Amino acid sequence: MKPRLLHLLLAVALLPLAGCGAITGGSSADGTPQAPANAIKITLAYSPEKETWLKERFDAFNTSGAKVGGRPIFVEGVNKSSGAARTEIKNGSLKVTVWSPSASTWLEVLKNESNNPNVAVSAKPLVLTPVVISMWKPMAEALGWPSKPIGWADMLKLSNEPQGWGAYGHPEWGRFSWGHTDPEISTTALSTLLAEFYAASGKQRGLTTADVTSAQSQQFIRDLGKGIKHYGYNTLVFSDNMRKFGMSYISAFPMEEITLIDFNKNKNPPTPLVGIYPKEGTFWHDNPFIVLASAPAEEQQAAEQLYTFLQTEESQKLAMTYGFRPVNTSVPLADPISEQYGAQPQGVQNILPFPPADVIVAAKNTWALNRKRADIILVVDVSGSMEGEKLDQVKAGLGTFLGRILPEDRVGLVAFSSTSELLVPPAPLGENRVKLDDAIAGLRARGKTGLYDALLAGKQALDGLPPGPGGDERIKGIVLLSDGLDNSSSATIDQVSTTFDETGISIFPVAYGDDADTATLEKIVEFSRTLLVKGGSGDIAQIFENLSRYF
Amino acid sequence: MQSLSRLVGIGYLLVCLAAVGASFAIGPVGYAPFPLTAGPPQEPVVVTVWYGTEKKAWLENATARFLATQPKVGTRPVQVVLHGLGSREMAERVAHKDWRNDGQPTVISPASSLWVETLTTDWAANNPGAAPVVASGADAPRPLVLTPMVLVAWEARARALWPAAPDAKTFWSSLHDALADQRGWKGVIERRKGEISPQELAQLQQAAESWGFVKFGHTSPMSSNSGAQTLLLLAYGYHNKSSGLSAADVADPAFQSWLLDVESSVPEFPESTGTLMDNMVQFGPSKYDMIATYENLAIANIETAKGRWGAVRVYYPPATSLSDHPYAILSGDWVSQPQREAAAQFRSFLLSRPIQELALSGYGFRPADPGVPVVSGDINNPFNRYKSYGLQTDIAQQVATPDGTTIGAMLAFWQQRVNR
Repeated sequence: MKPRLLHLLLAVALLPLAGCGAITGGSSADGTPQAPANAIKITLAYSPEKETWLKERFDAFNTSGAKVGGRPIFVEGVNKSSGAARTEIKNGSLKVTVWSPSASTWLEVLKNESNNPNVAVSAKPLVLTPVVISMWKPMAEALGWPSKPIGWADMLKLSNEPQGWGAYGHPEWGRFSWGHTDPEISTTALSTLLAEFYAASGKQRGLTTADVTSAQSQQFIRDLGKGIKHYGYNTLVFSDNMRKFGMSYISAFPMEEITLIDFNKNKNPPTPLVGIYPKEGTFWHDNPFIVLASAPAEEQQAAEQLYTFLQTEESQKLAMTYGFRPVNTSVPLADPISEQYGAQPQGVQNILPFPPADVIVAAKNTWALNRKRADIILVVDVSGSMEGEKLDQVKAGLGTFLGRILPEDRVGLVAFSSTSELLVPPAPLGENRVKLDDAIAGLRARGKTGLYDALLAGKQALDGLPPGPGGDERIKGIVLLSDGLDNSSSATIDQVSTTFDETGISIFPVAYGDDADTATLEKIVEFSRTLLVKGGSGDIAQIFENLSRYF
Repeated sequence: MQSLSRLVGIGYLLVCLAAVGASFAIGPVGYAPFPLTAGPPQEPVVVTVWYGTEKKAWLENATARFLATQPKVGTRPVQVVLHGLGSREMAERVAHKDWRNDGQPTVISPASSLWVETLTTDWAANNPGAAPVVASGADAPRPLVLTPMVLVAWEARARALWPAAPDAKTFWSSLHDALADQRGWKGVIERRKGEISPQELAQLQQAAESWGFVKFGHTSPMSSNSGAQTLLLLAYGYHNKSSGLSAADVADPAFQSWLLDVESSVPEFPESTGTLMDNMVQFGPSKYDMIATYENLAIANIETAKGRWGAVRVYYPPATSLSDHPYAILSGDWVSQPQREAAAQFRSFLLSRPIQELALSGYGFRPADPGVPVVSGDINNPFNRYKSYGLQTDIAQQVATPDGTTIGAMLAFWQQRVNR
């Protein structure tokens, strides 16, 4: 028999087998499975810490041959912070089959805020992780860790300790500093806030609206704010900065155990963090798999199959490799949930119950009223290189930013080109808003770029401010909007660095244009311990919304 | 040699081609992917079983084994369709002929005969003049497996509460006092002064700083058998008796106040006992120090619990209740004679010695067949294997099942004052 005939026979013989496998839609150039034409598509919005695990699992599920009514199921993911997702689901701009925030708290908030108790048809946990107080190991040991129980109230005590770490034999570490993300966005921040209110009221259950709005609780939040050196957008940004800047950045920061494990396992820190499991109790983040009532029935059925797939031992073991604790009880706890990575497998000894939604909403409101206030100088580059689109983007971004800043925050405006000018002296935003809007609208681009001199002018404006009402300590920051090509300052970057050193003033550079001098802006980020924001790419409103969370 | 290989290859290909050709001509032939059919298919006899989810794993395993025997009624094959539901829910839905998408049940198998009695009463009330819905005579309900209610506690905490085995006379009152103590575990430890060494006391005092309140767990009695059983045990415990619980006992204000103390220590009330047991293992002592559950679930989770949080300890109330998992064939007009026959075949299989032994060794149930001993010399027998965790074969006393009025009064009180 001729080889050609043999091959033909072989091809014909194998033809029927081609239909025996799972029906899939093939793959894109990068190997990502594509939806078959007749697929039932479902979408799942998930919180960022589950990204790696879920993306891998979605690819596996999409090629598993799962079907509803004979049609293949195809799942797509949307990475979205829990608080942001709840806002977008509420206003209808995010339409998904399944929502998986970090914790069930957000479902209660959504039900309360949307006045719809039937927004979900089911909510079951996917994976677990507790909230812990992460602290540099030497600092935790100075407090008596691991043998001595430590809790939320101890953080307040440390915040109020005038000698700072000196009271624990380490004056070289300075004052105790504490970080806080925004409870409007971050689940960890919301859980931390509730834990703080429990500590403030001396309760471990039965937290009420009266508890969180009491004068005692409000004072507690203000006192805790004294120790807050940095606010932040979300926990992952804090974790990145802790790696970059080490023990001098912050003393302790509440985070999910998975973030702690990831930090120690994958970010190679010179000093490890350890998890303190608060003695008063903490919260479990249960990463609920919430099937939304708005999804069509067949999508809901498809979602149930996906849930079953994510509960298999294989899926749960994979989740554990990223630091999640498996919900499937047949999967034993193993590395990396271990002391090697700062975790204690049996560390959580007590939980604080999530209070009803009205108490959660009241807690967020009390926080907004009593959080540390900010003094902010907007330093805007109006040199010739900013002309056109860049300056338009600056103006649009500043509008969003000012819309998110609290009325009691004091804001001023410095514009700079060859020289710097304080266009609007800092004053409470509630009084200053019209002046700022007018000045921003009138900005025109011309001349050279005296960026370093402008930063010094911004600092001078902050230094000239009297203490806030009641002498409250304030977050002090400069938002620098520029393309970064300094060519006319009399000061140097080193002089700027030295001048800002130990002042507590943070500079947040926002870079414009592909030609931005990001090397210079990165140097500013380095000594200021902040982050570089790209101002002209993507969703400008979202970028400035996020930026506002640092104040 | 090369020619021989080629010959074999060509032969194989020709066989494949013949099979493909035959498939196109006369339909599928041969083993998958060419399944063989022999003659017209017989319509199967479908047995739909609504069962309490506590025995899901055993029942699924047993069903697979049953179907592997290719059971038939006459020449018709038997199919078994399982639907797991809460015990109370299945009784209520049959009484109201509320099938939804779960099929019309041929058999119900709730966790306890309590719910067969409830169905009988509710059916009569909802279907006046209709024949009884639960079959009698040879098809009358029969227990499949037995399991008592127990308390499962994390050992470290249980030892702090009960350094020695709890006294039967103060079993429930000592638990109540711990649950109601507003100082939580610190208060419980404080009461141990004088009973334990100062060193041990100091260690426990430090540990108790992180233990919070004493947290008890049971399921919702509105959906789950074990939740209802727990309330009855608490009521019997408070009134210090094991039979004759009455509606007046439930209405006693002192008892109601006592019960509300206990319920205030329960973080939440899951709808099924399986979920409650899972929660105990998932969240450890952070969520529950002690739960009321079935002995079989305790047995099934001893190892996994130990792997996550440490050892547990099993406690038997001085008088407990026994869930008997009745297999009740229904006699409603939606059940055909072949279905009843098939259901009886399935019941016989479930009560056969190998499947009863499987229930014991694999899933921790006590066999309903008295011919299958609970205790054996087998080292893998769970009652041998987990004896050191507190498992015991002898059950001192059982509480009597109260009448329907008393049960109704208890559930009504709970729904009105506790339901969360």
